[in-house]
Parts: sequence; structure tokens; C-alpha cells
Amino acid sequence: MNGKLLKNGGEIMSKHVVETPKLGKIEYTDDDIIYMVSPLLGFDHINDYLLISSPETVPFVMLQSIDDMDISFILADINLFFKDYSPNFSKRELKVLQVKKVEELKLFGIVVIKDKPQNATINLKAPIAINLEKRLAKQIILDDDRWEIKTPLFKSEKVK
Amino acid sequence: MLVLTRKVNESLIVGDDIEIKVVEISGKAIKIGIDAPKDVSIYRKEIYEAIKEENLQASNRDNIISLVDFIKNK
Repeated sequence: MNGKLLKNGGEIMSKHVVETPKLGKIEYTDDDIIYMVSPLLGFDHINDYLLISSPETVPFVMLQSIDDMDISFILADINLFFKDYSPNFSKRELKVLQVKKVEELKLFGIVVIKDKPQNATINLKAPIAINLEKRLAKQIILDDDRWEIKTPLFKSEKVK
Repeated sequence: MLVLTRKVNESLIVGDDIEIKVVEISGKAIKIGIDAPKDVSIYRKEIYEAIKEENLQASNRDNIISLVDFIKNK
């Protein structure tokens, strides 16, 4: 992420630098912060995150807490892995994320690797929806049994 | 835990702005309607617990680099 100085209401936004455990030093400004409109379940009071992508981690991105460097998540752009993923969000969720339709949101799934990478799973039942423009995010719990919490990430590739 | 008896179409008020209403009873299933402010999240408990557990596991020392290596070597 390239931190750059941006003028905002006449004030120059200051750069911050954090040392992340997995991806080293990251420089960011306040405009880079992704605000979790309601905290991830299990992580109360943690609202500010950075979404970090680096060549080493493609196609995954890291969701890194700013408040606690030990808290980070591996996310995958769900539509890269599951082309037919098209959950319905309630109007209420869309409003909270300040968009009119789902298409304006980027949907990421949290990836869990329990033992071997080939057994990695992705949570499609509770995607993290991000309004990249407004820097707002929320984990949305779907009332939809088509999608599961532990969906094998690579199952779709075995088929071909 | 506070336990109260309600009939169909009767409600409870929690705090100043949450209303919980018994909408319908059929056999062992009860339909409940909830009116709450937009910033109050409402979940089925078993799903809430499962997702919380999954989030905790996900933040727990996974190694993104090994996953990426795995994909590159496929």
C-alpha cells in the first residue's frame, strides 16, 4: 500500500507506519483505514483495519487490525473462487454500508487453514462486505442455507 | 434469566427501543418479530456462536505464505 499525503478539509493527513507480523512494514494514512461498522464477532471494540495486498499473497489479501497487530485475517475475493456466489443482503445491511445494491460491494471470505493448505476453508455464510470507496466494512451473516461456514476453498478446482 | 409468559401478538419491550413480539405459535416452533434500531444486530444464537468460533480460528496464526506457496506449486 502506497501511503500518500492527502489534503482533507485543509489538514494534511499524516502518515502512519505499522510493523505487521506477516507482511513487514506498512505505511498508511487515515484514508486507508477500513472501518468495521460493527465489530467482527469475537473481536469487540476492534473497528479499524487495513486491507493489505502484496504480490506474495495474491490472490489473498490480509485484513490487519491497526489496534492489535496480532489480529489479522486471510481473506479471499469470493467471486474469484466461486463464480456463482450471489448472496442477498437486506436493505438494512446495504444502508449501513452506504450502498444501494450488492454489486457496489466487494465480497471477501475469511479463510481458515487448519492443517494443510489444501484443506483450507472459506466462510461463505458470513462474508465480509466492503464498500471500498467509503472504506466501510461489515461481516454479514446470511440467512441462507446455500452457503456454509466451512466451504472447501479448492473443491471447485478439483471438478475441472 | 428473566422468564415471562406472553400470548400470541403480545410483546416485550427491552430498554427504550427494542420490541420483541410473539407472532405465531405452531407446535414447538414460535415465530418472533423484533423491532430494534439499525445498529443493533440480531442473530440466531447457534449461528452467532459458530461464526464467532470461525473468526477466532481464522485469526489464530494461520500462515498466509504457506497457502500462497501451495497455490503457486499446484
